[in-house]
Amino acid sequence: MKRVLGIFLGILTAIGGFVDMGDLVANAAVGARFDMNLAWVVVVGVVGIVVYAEMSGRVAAICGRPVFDLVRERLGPRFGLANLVASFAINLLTLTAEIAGVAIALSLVSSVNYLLLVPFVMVLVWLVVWRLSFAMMERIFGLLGLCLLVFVVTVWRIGPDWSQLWSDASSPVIPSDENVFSYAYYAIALFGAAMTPYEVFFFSSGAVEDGWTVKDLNENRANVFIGFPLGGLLSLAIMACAFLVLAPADIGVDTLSQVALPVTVTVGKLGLAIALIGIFAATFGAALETSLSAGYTVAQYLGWPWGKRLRPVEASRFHVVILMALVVALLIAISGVDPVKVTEYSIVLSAAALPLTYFPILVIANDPAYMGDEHTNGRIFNMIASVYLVILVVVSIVTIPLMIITRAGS
Amino acid sequence: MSSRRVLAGLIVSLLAAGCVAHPVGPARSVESYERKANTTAESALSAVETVRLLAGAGADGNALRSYLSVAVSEQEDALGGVRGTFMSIQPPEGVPSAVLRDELSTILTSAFDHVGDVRIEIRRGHVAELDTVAAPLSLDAAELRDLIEELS
Repeated sequence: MKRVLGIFLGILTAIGGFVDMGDLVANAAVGARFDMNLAWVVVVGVVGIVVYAEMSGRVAAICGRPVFDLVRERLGPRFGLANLVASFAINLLTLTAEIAGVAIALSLVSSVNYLLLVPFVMVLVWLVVWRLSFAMMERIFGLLGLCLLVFVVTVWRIGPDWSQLWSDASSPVIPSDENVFSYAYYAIALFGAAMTPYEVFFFSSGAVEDGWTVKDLNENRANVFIGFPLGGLLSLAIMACAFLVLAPADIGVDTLSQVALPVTVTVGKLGLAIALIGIFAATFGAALETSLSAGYTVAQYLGWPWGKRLRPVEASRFHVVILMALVVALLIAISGVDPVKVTEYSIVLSAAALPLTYFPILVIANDPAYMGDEHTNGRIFNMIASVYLVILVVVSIVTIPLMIITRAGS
Repeated sequence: MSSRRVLAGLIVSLLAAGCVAHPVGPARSVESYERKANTTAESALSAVETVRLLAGAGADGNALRSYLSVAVSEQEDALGGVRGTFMSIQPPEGVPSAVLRDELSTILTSAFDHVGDVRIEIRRGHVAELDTVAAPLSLDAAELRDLIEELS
């Protein structure tokens, strides 16, 4: 039982990382617009995040310190500061989108305007961060997030021609009414969404919160190899639902309510209710991850006491940073800015900053001074990680030009 | 001002200008106006078809009323938005643009009214009759498809 409960850190991280507000809309939008022609990006993203999350979890288990804590020490304060500024800004945008996403999910069951619910959500997130233990938090929201499996059930209930679906997904082409730039832009958006930096900050900090040691390396692998592929499966299921139900009706996805529409049409009221619980849990889980990541990154860079394993009075500055991040996110969210646009921009901007996060992980995971000779990366693992680092650099270079050329994918 | 600041300002301006998805302004040629009309019709068709699916799900007893109410309102807002944006575009001179403007405007107004009817019936609790109320939207969708076909 303890082993089963142990993988909820990975499940929560993956569900928050793969099917948060931005991903829910992005996956459905891509499925409705590009059919299954971008499904391969999700697979590439899953492999990438598995490789780097495994490294960050291993580093945390061996050193007893999370990745961000080690970045400044290993690569110097300047690199650490650049990493901190970029990741904190992107994190803040993502937090804004998640809080709005939770409010929208609640509005879909209450009919109350989501802007009125945003302050309530912000207080709720803060209360959970303040009061609930880390283990309880990851179990509750990891478990509730599994409600999103209703999208897998929906695909199965639709009963598509599986060989045709596989053929569409495995032989990608650029649709005739799209150009190579918009195709590449959405590919990068999906890849950026899969490898969002806060996932590894949260995952490695969570490993320290959970008290992982060398003995827990198998738990790390179980988390990574079960949690993240599960997140990828949910992404693909959401994409397939949109492809099968929305694309034939010429529907483009711009809102969270449209994401749940295939489930509503196919599974009915119960399915819709389960989907809404899943969407609530995924966005709420992501709001917890991003708010905690805000505190983790700042506190770890500045060497302050941090974490939920400490009493709030012992990590007061860590909690103040979280509270301030939540207040700023609240102010942005209630300004009426479109939360879907905010999250789209946060995904794409995070793609531009990916090497800043992942390069230090690769360096530290190869440093025997931190890892000891027996726990550094193996040759094949390093080869895969290096290929991904090259991809990350290319992605970070082309992201902003593509954003301008395609007018943010429009 | 340092060159770094100038560069940063330039990048921000480029981003702000380049990332606007649906710029409002005069269409300088008939082709440009037709492209904007095509984009508008596609967005409107998406909203209309979303409401048709929602209405069908509601009539079949497959959807929560609160969900229907919020989802249809969102599409009504979206439809109102694309209509407002398109109508604010200054068309180029000439009969074809004026005809296109009138044609699309008529369809958008009709679709907007019909989506409003669906929203009203949902809020009145008449979810079982949504199929009937939403029936005129099929004609709006057909007209939008014809126009998109014509413009492509």
